[in-house]
Amino acid sequence: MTRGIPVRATAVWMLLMAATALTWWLGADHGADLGGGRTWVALAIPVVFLKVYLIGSEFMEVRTAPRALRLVFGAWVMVLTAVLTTIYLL
Amino acid sequence: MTLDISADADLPEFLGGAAADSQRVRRPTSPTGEGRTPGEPGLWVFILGDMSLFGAFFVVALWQRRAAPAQFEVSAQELMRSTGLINTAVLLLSSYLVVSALWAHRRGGMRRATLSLVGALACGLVFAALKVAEYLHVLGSGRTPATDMFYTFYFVLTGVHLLHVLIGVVLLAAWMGVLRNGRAVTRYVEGSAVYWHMVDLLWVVIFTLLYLVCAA
Repeated sequence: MTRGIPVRATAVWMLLMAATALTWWLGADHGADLGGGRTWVALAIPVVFLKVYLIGSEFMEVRTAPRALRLVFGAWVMVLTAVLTTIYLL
Repeated sequence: MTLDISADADLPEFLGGAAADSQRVRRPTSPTGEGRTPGEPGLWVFILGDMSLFGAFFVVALWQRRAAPAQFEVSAQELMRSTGLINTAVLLLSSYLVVSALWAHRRGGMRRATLSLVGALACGLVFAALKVAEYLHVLGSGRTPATDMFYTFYFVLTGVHLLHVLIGVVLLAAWMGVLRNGRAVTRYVEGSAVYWHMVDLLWVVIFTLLYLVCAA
């Protein structure tokens, strides 16, 4: 049986779980409790797209893909982060 | 004209066709240089197209929320957030198991890869079961896609996503067939992994937008 673990992917996975806890915390009223109200809740959007970027670049192996694929994927993440955060805060 | 149905080589590998040696793939190289596309390049057209379609839905959903934020808030707060959180953790775990399976498969660790895939498949089924339980709860409380705009988005987004989960489960099961036959990692295997991660990726956004942002 193969020994060891995929170290980098394991670290990324732990980061993803931590980010999930953070978005949960921001979304579950604490964000509003911090006094910033909607601004803190809106922070959940960039945080979730950071997770999306990690899943894409690390798990889907976009990080080692040709430049065109890296650019298109990165653009998808950045455009949606900007558009969704803006619409929420408008 | 006769149709030669014995030509298994024409079938995809997971349906019993011959393994195409030319499709055997190596581990990805460093981020420098040309890089290599995981899975079939054509698959990425579908993946990015699908992601863009969901992206458009996300934008429209948040835009519609602006017209009735209070209504969205009340409706979103009725959802079982803990179920959504558990499902997020379940899918993240399944993605990690799929990464582990591909990692082991590339090193020839067929048993380790199979065990990881069994775990990932189980996660997929747990996700689907929890989603069905949630649907029963929501429908049982009298909420339908026609209740309000929030529930329209809720049922459409989660419903189409659940369909993706089920397709992903079939793809992972077919990957197990490749492992059982002792074959090396093919582009099909890589493509299945990529597809499964996309299912995970879309869910984390759906969960954050519907269960958290709309409810706040």
